Amino acid sequence: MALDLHLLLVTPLEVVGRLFTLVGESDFWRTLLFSFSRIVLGFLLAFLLGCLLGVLSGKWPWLETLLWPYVITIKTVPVASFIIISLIFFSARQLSTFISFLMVFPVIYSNVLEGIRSTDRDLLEMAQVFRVPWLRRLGYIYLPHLKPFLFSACSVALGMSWKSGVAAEVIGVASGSIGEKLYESKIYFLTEDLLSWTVVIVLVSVVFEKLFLRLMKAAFDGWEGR
Amino acid sequence: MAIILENLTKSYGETLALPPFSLRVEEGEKLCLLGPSGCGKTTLLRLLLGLEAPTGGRVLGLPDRISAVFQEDRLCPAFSALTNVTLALGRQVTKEQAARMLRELGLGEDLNKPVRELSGGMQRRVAIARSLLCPAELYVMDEPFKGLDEDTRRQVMDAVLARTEGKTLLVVTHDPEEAAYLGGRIVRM
Repeated sequence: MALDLHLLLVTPLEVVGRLFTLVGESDFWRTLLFSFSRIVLGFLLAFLLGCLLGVLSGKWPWLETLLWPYVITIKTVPVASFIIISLIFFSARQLSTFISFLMVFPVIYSNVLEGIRSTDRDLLEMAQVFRVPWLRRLGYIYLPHLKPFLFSACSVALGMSWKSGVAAEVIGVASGSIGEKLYESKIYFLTEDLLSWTVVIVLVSVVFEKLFLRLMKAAFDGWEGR
Repeated sequence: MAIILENLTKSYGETLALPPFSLRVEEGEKLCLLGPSGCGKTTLLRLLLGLEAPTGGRVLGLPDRISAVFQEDRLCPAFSALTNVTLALGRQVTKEQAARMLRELGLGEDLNKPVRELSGGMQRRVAIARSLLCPAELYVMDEPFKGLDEDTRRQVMDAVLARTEGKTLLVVTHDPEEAAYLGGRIVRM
């Protein structure tokens, strides 16, 4: 049986060549923007809500108890199950936002809560004696302490948001997304395209991670330099 | 109004941190608590600050507003000396008042440096400045002059005495000379 090995194995040079061809196509940027905007939106929403609920759960233990079943469910249920279940409620085009949100939220929430819980008790006692209002405690005592927890959570969660978001696009075959391109590559044995889009995902994910962490560092430095 | 401690005691399980202790402190009095390590001086201050509940006994006449210098500096390391003072006191103190107090304690050059970049003695003075600026009726200080050189210590002790004039001051120390310099009553635990 004759087998065209080119279908399965392509050289790195061919992948780079195909990548350059793709970059020149207007459809490439549209696809990239489609997936980027949705996955990053999911990440940012999860970041904001994870921080907010993490901080509030640190303040009110009953909220942590209330959220615990949801957080543990999101942590343990396989992402593929969530994607398929979510397809019932969401259009495939919005799915990557929701799935990215779902995967990132527990990571941010758990880290923020852990950070709040391990805040220096001595400083909290000082704040109690001097009657420092809670918002000021948050800004000057909790927030600097949360810094390493947030950085570690974000560097894990940013990669996760891309992996889960693209997986959602592949399973949902979201029209106009990177996931759709990967799905088509699989159907038509376009190994060059498959690897080129994979390289794109890795590059965009890494660039966004570096950019986001740098922005976060600048925000912390600006705040602490007071 | 006098502060009265009646058979105040604190235990952590089987460990007795503060044996029954009674004391009367008159309003505006300066009082130094002297005693060996582990005799319960810090525990007593924590009870007065409301950071611990006593196992037995009671405290009467405790004023509403108490200021403290803790055994540790308890500063936010990433923020400047000025911010550390104003963050604890909020609108009760202006930036100018905080800066003046820090200058009085010899920190004029270092107001805007993050406190983690300051020496131990400088950090101690920031903690003292924070306490002195707090408008309180009772000032509680746990070994406040620890780690300060002789000249600085005198300067800071003078500032403490001047700023707490007419207020009740309770200082824990191991140093009888320090207690003598501060004047007032000396109580051995």
